[in-house]
Amino acid sequence: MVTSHSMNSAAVALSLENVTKVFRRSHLGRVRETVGVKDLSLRVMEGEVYGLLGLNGAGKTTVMKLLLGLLSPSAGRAEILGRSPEDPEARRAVGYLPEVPYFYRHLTAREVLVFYGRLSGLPRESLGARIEAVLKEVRLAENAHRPMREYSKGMLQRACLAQALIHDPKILFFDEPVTGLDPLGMKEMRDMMAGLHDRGKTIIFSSHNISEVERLCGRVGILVRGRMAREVDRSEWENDPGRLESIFVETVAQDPNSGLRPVMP
Amino acid sequence: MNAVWTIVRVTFLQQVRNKLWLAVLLYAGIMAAASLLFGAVAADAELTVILDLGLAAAELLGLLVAAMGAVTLVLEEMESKTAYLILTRPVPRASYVVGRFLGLLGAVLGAVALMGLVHVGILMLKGWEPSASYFACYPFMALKVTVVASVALFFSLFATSQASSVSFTAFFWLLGHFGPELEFLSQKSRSVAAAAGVKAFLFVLPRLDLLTYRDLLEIPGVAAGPLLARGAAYAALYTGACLLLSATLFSRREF
Repeated sequence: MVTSHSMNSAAVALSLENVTKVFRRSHLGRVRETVGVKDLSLRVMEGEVYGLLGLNGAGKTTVMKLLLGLLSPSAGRAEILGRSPEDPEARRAVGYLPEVPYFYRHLTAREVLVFYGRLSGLPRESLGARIEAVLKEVRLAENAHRPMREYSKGMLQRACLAQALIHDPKILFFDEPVTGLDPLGMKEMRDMMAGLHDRGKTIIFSSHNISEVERLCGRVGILVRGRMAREVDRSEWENDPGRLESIFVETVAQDPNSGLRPVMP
Repeated sequence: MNAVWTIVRVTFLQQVRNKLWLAVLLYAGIMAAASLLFGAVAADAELTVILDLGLAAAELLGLLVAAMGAVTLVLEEMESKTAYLILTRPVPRASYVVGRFLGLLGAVLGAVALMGLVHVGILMLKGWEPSASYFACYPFMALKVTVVASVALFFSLFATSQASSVSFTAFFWLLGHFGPELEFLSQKSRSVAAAAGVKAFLFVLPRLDLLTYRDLLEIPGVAAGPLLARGAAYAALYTGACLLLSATLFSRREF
């Protein structure tokens, strides 16, 4: 179980300040604009586990991509440890586990880790030992010689976690980390995330699975149509099972386009 | 530099595993069939025909593989999202583009070298005596492949589809061989605006006519050295400009 953090003394690991992201797509000369996130601010402190909850299209992945530098804000500012995400030095502190593992499937897990380890700037002398340690940590050591096209979904997800951890980053981004995993795989992933938090890693993760968020996070941001509708501290649900779910439903139901009826007091 | 080299290595292996060697196999098949056919129907000119055909086929296949590879080089990684895991690391986007390009180029030039070996083998079997001018054709071919691949990569980063990137590249490749004709056209044009327009277009076009040494093989007294130095300088400048533009476009790209 992850405990809530006292954040007064911790430094800011990730921040978005009044960020708006507008996607512009032109087709046959007509430009169509879609708002991904609007005037969104959030701060994740060092050592914190922060969850992003929202319906499909709420902006969870957009928030992650803005913080990772895969998208640039149309307005506002994103920062990793006080630097712009476009600064390669800022990205040195980051590990990213995407929703779907995107790999060169012909490579073995060991080859993949050599590749990402070198890209992360790990020195050649220490890379071998680090790879073996990470493979052991994600329990892939015995299958590390097999090409990844032979891996199951759970193994791919663990390989993906291994690439995110290879350079021992301070901050981890997990985008829907348990989606598509069987119950055992979900438990393994949850245990690994809890272990990472115990080692002081900052984790931001998005999920549809409220029970996972409830178990792991110290704080949760609920996104509704690209806006930060509510931030919830662990103390609000910790001793009240199912409370986070009701807070989520209440918050989302306030949006007239959610298809949910507003919860009456 | 470390990041570039890491990306070069993976891209090279990826191209080899993507069955790039099939181009070499196709080339060997074409040349084997040609040597049988021309041995039977044109015994007198057999060696000349096999020599010309072999060089032309190696260049064409090399260009085709390079252009097709360059068009999908970055686009496929964006579509499959494998680029995400690279671009969220401390890797400048320019390094990614350059690494991918050099990895592809290494694989394609390796394939062209293998085609050259097949060609030399067939020619030797037919009693051909090696000549320096024949071997000089290959560095020119390599320069042409480099330039066309860089053009294809550039188009792939702003065109809306792979088909349009291939079409633009084919258009530039074709017109790139007509540099002297376009120069003549601009000189003869009575309209100042039209002449300036053609000159500007010539500046943008890859001057592939400067990189086609095999057309000069039969002309006595044409030394390859100075032409190769001029061609290499031109190819380096043109490819550098294309890579710079590609890296700039890619750095503005959102995912």
